[in-house]
Parts: sequence; structure tokens; C-alpha cells
Amino acid sequence: MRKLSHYLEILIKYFLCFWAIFSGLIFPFIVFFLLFYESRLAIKHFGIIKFITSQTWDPVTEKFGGLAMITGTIISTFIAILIAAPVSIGIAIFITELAPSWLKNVISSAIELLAAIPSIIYGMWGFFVLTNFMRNYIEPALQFFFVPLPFIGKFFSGVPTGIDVLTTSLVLSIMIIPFMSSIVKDSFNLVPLVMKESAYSLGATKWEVIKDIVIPYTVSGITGGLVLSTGRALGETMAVTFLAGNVTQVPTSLFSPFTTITVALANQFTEADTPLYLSSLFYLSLILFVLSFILLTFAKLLILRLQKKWK
Amino acid sequence: MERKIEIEVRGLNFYYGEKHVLKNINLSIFKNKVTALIGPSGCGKTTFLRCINRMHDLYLGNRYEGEIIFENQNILDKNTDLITLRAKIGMVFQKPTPFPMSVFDNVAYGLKLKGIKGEELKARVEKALIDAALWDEVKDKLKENAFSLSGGQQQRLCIARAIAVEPKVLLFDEPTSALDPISSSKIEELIIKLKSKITIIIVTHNMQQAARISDYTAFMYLGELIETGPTEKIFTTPEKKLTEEYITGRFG
Repeated sequence: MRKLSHYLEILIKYFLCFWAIFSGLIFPFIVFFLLFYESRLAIKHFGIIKFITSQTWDPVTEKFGGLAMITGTIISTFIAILIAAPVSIGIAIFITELAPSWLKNVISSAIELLAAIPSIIYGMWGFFVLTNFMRNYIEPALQFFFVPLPFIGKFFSGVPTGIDVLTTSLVLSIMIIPFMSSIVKDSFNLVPLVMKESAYSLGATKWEVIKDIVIPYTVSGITGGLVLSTGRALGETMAVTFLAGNVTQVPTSLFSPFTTITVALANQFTEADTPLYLSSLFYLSLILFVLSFILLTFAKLLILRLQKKWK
Repeated sequence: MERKIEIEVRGLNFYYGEKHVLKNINLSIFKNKVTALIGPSGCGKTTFLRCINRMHDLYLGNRYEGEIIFENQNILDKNTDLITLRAKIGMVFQKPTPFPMSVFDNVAYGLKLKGIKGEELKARVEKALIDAALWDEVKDKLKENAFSLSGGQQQRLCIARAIAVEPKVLLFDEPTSALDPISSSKIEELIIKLKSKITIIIVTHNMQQAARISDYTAFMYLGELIETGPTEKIFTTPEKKLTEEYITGRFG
């Protein structure tokens, strides 16, 4: 009988090993090659440079270029991170350093719950509630203050509709705050207590300890957290579909309606009636895949560096 | 021999939540002397040490009773300004804890907090490094990351950092337990040298170390102070049987 359990153990080991390798290594490659295979027609037809520098997206004449979607994706993600980063770092500082312990758990759980809300609900809330508020109050106010300024003024031009880059980025930022703040919080918790105590023992105040010890110590972790959340914002579809306005143009202002790779995919797969049209959509998704892959690798390297540097 | 009291501990009790960790401690710490706190693990030596700079206040659920008189004030008083207190009563920890910055910035840190700048800052950093017997080894790498120093150098850097702000008292929490014998003896020499300017309290597991460097020794057991007196007397003719058993190595 001992032999049987021995074999069983080996069997379980290989079974688990297979799933780990399959989901970690093989599956992403399968997806990559599938996307690559499906987009081969468009790649051959438009090449790389031409596809990513043209913003014409015309199913009628079958001229496809991804510039509008690609810039839309990158710009909305970038602005979302810009809004979410300070808020998340603030939340993480509050939870790890300032809040009394009973409040710590309440706030952490509440923020984690934000992550559990399905993204379509964020989209609906954004569409039915936030867009009106943005159009009627926030965006006119921003225009009032920023349009007269040189250089940045033009980023606030246009008719505020609420269905635009700014609203989309705002909703995206709310969606990534739970992830970002929890990653930043975890890196704050990596700071050894004795390191903080050393600073306190020299007569530092709480704020000085945060500013001089905690943040410099975790700078790579924070950056890694930012980039990981970028990955989430890049791939977000449902909320963005509601809020972007789905206009295929490179956004020139915060108040431009625009589109992203995910929005184009979600809206157009059912309409793609020619092989080249379909293949171009796959080409877009391949670009998104590569974009996310590069970003996530970058984030992992940063985090690894943090762990190596301060053990 | 003239003895001036720097810190007077009277009826100190300390609680972690419900747990009564320090029981009615009474102890005089003499100025410009080295006082060693010895005792088996868990006897409360470190807990006691951390009462003196109110380090326990960083965490919730701790409670002090009694008095620790320093500069005519009870530092356990609610109104004590902990920032000023900790600048006057410095601390060096078990493991070296350099900050993630350059050698110079580490030593300058406490001084910058006090608003010292420019040439004075440079001079004070240099003086602290000289006093910590580290200057010759690091004068060419002041801009390098402090983590590039050896363990023993890092610990002396932490001592330099602590003495740079010119504290009256310096608390050492087993400062050599993570170091090799050569680095340890350098730290011991340094402690003996520092006492001309600073009153020193050191927690140590190493009884030879206590015998070598301290003028007074306090033996603690299960949260109580069992016996205290001149080190020579404690190690040669202790009054209590428990003390004798501990220093002769029969338990601990």
C-alpha cells in the first residue's frame, strides 16, 4: 500500500506541475500565436509602421490604421494613472502609517470591495451619473481656468460633452485605485519596522519618517504598482465602451470623444464581414497584447529590483 | 567618587495590553557611566530600554505606570514632547539599520531634522564619524550608498548617526549580537570612549561584554529588577542567589 501512495504523490506532483507550466508559459504563447496567425493578412497588407501611424479606419474602402485606437488607449491609461497614483499613495500612507488599527481594516476591506464591482457597473454609473456632472460643472470650470493658459490651454478646448477622454480616465482611475493602493500598501509594509524606529529615535516626526524613509525605500515598489495597474487600465473594455464616445480620431483635447483598442474590438467584431477587416481587428488585439506584455515585464523587473536591493 | 544621576526610574510598570511586562522597576542611571542590563531572554531588558525613549508609543495598546525622571521631568508624562526627547535620548539597534541613502546623508539625517545646514552640517557629520571611529574608513566614500559598508561599519555608522545630534543618553539594544568578534570589540571600545560625553545604557546577552564595558550592571528576571550595583560587585559578590546563578551560567 505504501507504494500506491508513493505513485499517487508523484502523479499529483506532475499533474500540478503541468498546470502551472501550461497556464504560466504555454498558454500565453498559444494566445500570442493565435493572434499573430489571425492578423497575418493585415500585417502583410499594411505592414507595421503604416498600420500604427495611420488613423484612417474605413471598412468601406478597407483602409485600416490603428493610430487612433492606440493613442486613445495610451492617453486614457496615462491620464488614469496620473489621477490614480497620488490618490493611491495617499490611501496607502493613511492605511499603513496613520489610521488607528480598527479603521485600517475597515478601509482596506472597503477599498478591496471596489475591485469586486463589475466594470460594466462602473460604465453605467459613469454614463448615467458622472457624464452629466462632468458636462455641467467640472468641465466648464476646468475650461474657465485652463483655456487662457499658454501651451496647456488647447488640451482643454472643445465642447464639453462628458463623453470624452477626461471622464473615461476618471472612471478608469477609480477602477484601478484598489489595485494600485494595495500594491503600494504591500510595499510600504516591506519597510522593516526597525528602519522606521531608527528614524523616530533620531527625533523624526511621523511625516518625516514617511517622506524620508518609507517612500524612498519603496520607490521601485510604487513604480511597479503603477505599471501593474497600467496593465489593468489598458485592457479595460466595458466601462470605456460606455464613456469614450467611440469616435475614431486621435484625441487632441481632454474633451475629445475618442476610442481605444478594446472599444474597437468590442464594437466591431460582429460587423467585420471581410477577411481583411477581421484580420485588422486581430492585428489591433495583437498590439494590445504586446503593449501589456512589455509593461508587465517592466513592472516585474522593477519589483524584483526592489526586493534584491533591500533584501 | 562623585556620581551624578542622569535618569531616575521610580516604580515603573509596563503593560503590553493586559500583559504585565515590567514590574515595579526602581533604578538610578549615573551620568557618564555605562550601565548594562543583563538577564535571560524575555526578562524585559529591551522593553525597559524602549521605555526610556518612549519607543513603545509607536504602537497601540501599551501602558506605562510610574516615573522616569530625566532633566527634572517625568518623561512618561502625557505632555512630553517625544520628538525632543528622542533627540536627547538616542538609540542604536540590534541590527545595523542604515537608511537607504548615502553614508553622508545617513549621519546628516538627524542634523537636518534639526535644521542644521551647509558648512556646519559638514563639520558635524565629520566630527560624528571621527567620534564613531569610522572617518578613516569612509572619508572617501561619503557619497556611496550606506549598504555598501560592512556590517560592523554599518553599525558604527548608526552610532555616528545617533551621536551626531549630540544626545545626553544613548541606548544600545544588543548592538553587537549581529556582528563578528572583531567588529564587536571595535564597538565595545567605542562605547567606552563615548561615555566621557554620553551616558550609556546597554542591553546585552553577553555577560563578558557587560563585565568588560560597564560600570554598573542591573540584572533582570521575569520583568523584575533583581539586583543592581557596580559591575565588579555584581560579578564577584552578588547579594542575591538568582544573580549568582545567572552570572555563573547555571541558567539563562
